[in-house]
Amino acid sequence: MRPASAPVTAGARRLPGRAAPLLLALAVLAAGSFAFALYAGTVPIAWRELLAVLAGHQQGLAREVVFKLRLPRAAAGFATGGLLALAGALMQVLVRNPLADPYVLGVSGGAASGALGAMVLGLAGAWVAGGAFAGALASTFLVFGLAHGRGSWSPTRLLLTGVVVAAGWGALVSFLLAVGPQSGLRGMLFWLMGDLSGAGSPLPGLILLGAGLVLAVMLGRQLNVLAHGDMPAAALGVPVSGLRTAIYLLASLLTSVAVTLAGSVGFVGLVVPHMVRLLGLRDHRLLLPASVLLGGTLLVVADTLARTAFAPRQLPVGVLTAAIGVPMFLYLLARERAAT
Amino acid sequence: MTLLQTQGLTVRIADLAVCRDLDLQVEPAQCWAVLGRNGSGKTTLLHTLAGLRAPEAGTVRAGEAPIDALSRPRLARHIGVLFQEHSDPFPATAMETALIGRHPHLGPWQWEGPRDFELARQALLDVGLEAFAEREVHTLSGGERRRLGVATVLAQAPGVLLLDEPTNHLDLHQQVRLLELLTARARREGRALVMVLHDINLAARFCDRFLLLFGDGRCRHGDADAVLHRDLLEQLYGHTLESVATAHGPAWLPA
Repeated sequence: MRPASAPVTAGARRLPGRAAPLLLALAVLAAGSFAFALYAGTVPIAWRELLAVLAGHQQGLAREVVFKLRLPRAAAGFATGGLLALAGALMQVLVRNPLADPYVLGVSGGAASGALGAMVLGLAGAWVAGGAFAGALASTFLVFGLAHGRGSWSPTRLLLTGVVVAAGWGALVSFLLAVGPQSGLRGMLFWLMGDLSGAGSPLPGLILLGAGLVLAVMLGRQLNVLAHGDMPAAALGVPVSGLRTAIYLLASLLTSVAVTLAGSVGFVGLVVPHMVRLLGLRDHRLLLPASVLLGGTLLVVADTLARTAFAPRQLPVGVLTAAIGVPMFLYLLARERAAT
Repeated sequence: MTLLQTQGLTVRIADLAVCRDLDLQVEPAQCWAVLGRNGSGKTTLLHTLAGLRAPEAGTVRAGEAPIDALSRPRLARHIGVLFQEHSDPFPATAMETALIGRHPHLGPWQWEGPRDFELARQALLDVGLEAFAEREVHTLSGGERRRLGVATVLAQAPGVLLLDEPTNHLDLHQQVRLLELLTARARREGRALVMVLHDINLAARFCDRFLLLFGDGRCRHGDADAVLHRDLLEQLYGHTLESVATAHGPAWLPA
């Protein structure tokens, strides 16, 4: 005998109205993370002073610090976290595997090879970012072409191709670390762990994040169906191969921009979509915006801690994303088990 | 109006001929059983009828139009498929899973409305899963998951339901109950059923048309009087059969 379950309430919580409080709470959390990021730092700024700066009433050092340093960095952090969470959720549907993350198709390896290659050549700044972006795109098309081959690409074939190409990039990264100049090693390691201190303007990332989110949410119901398999989705009227190509290209572009901003920040893209699912949002039209908010928030908080916890020494943000994310994820998992 | 029609349909999997020059007419309220040995291509034929696989020759028409002339959502409103296996890599409730059947009926921007919930709930009720609507799919038993798959295609409400072994994983009672439900609904609502079945006796009891695939490109179809003969069935399965008279007509037992 199975225990009787709750009476039929028509699963009405799938409607956007029921998810609104949760999305609102995540938006408030995101705003809170920005407030924390603007407040915390080596130059002390009181809350009152911060409000005055934001209202435009105050000039001087505080204004410079908030608008020139802390806000762009928080925005870059939010963009990175949001991009990775969105790309992760999309990749999980694409390869129909909950263990997929944005890097599963080798994008981070390609980006790392490009960025580290630039560093080995003694280049810096925009060259490193450009190298990362070029490497990420090269890997995207390489995996796409190899997995496509003749005939169709099943999720398994795509996943295997991605894993193998990523391993190849891994070898190249190790090689670059071994032959690179001693003095550049620290910068390279920081890049590999994910670091926002060298992030350029957050604006392109934020714009792409917004556009990518709108596009992905538009495809949301098709993603819900595709999650059950290619054939069932096709039988339900989804243009499967076109949709898969669209997801692949979109997720790869989002990931490429994220690694260009901050190097390969791990964990966010894998775990944030699961956290959102554990919070009860499964419909991709709700899961994707929620993932962007939570991913962005997680990275803003992690980066703020990374630059303040051991100040004046800065940690790479990748250290903190896992340090915050792991207990959070385990808590949600335990909570779910207790509920069922 | 004929719901599904094939003309000169030839289906082949590598070296295996599934059917040659098949002319089939599926009319409203008909219940078809597709019978044949393992590996005779029953599933492949079903996928071809659903437009998921191109035939080697011939055409499949849904109503008047060839199926490759219809847009995917239109085709999905006309033909629904229950696959042999289900895959649920991500968490979802039974209700959420039944609701994906409504996908082809909704516009790109549309959310599921009260009518969609009503149809999904009715489908869950029909397969006896109404109390499980909010249950997580991964907590369902194999048979319950199978009935949920049927509920999804019922919620889809297509004119033709192509069901690949709908009684898989079901116990004896549930097999009879499900086939009763499906055939009763199809006859009441003027839909057509095309089901791959392995139990000749259940097929004979619930279906009125039979398609026999012999695994070498030969196929026969017609009503029970035309095709449910001992010699044909013995050829079909490569096994000697005995028939026993029952209240539902003759039953077939393997010798």
